[in-house]
Amino acid sequence: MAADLVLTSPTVRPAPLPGRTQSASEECAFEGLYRETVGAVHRYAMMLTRNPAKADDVVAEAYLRAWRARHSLADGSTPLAWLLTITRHCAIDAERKCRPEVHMEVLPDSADPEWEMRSAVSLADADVLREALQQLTAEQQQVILLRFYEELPHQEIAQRMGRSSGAIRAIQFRALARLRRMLEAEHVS
Amino acid sequence: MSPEPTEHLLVDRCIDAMLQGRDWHEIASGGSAEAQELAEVAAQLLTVARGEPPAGEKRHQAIWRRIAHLIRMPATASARASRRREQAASGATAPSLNSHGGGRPWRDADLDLFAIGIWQRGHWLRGEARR
Repeated sequence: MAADLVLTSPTVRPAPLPGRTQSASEECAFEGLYRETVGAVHRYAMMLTRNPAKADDVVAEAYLRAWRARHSLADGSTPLAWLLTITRHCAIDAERKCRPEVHMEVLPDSADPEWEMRSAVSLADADVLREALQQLTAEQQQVILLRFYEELPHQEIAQRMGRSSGAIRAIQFRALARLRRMLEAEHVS
Repeated sequence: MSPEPTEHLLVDRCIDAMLQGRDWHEIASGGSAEAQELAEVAAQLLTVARGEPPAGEKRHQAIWRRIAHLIRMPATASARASRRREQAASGATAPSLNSHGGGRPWRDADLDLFAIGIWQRGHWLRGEARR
């Protein structure tokens, strides 16, 4: 159960307060889970929606769905992988619901000279890459998110996603190969 | 070890070097052309990722407040509570206006007209001030 799993993390273990109901302690544990995972979940929502306001809505909806389905999280499952999957579903639903619109580009401030200097990639290529990320499979997106955006070592990603290090490296390799193909196709066109 | 996992390892080592700010080109040069190209894509991806700072703590707190509000409220009660809040807002104003007595009691429609009147008055005053 999700609540049980959440409680396995020392940082999210709620102190049993006298007089508090079970649901209050569950809520406390859930808040701990939120604090531990929201960084990755929010960045994933941004990756999928490329719109800050929409990303906020997707994150709120994802945690709400997670709360409602907390008892369905199987023993041994990893909460982050579970949350990222829910987030992806929420982003897909949000995309279906909304009318077609021009995406706001999540670009760094063009007046930021530091970014310009650091940038080894043109703004056009950056945009193609962001677009291409949305075409990856769920597990490829999640590995890219944790490796490049959260900058986690592959061992930790493996632990959080409940996979082996070799599997994570293979997913990462396939994701990069797919991104390269998409970049090449974009350059050809 | 089969050739494919070796390439996986090499690309991964390049990414580790990138994340630590070390030179990865030398590591990549020991691999196939494909591995070198993928390391190049990884470098571009890391640049893009680092160009997008994560949302701040305040934003996360604001989202949590939304979630906490919703999880404390049963889904079916959510819409009803929203309506109650709207009614309470007008309900709190109407009785206070009614307490001053005189004429028929204030209703929601009257309050809407009253609000429009205040807005128009403000608009007119701002116009006067500009003149």
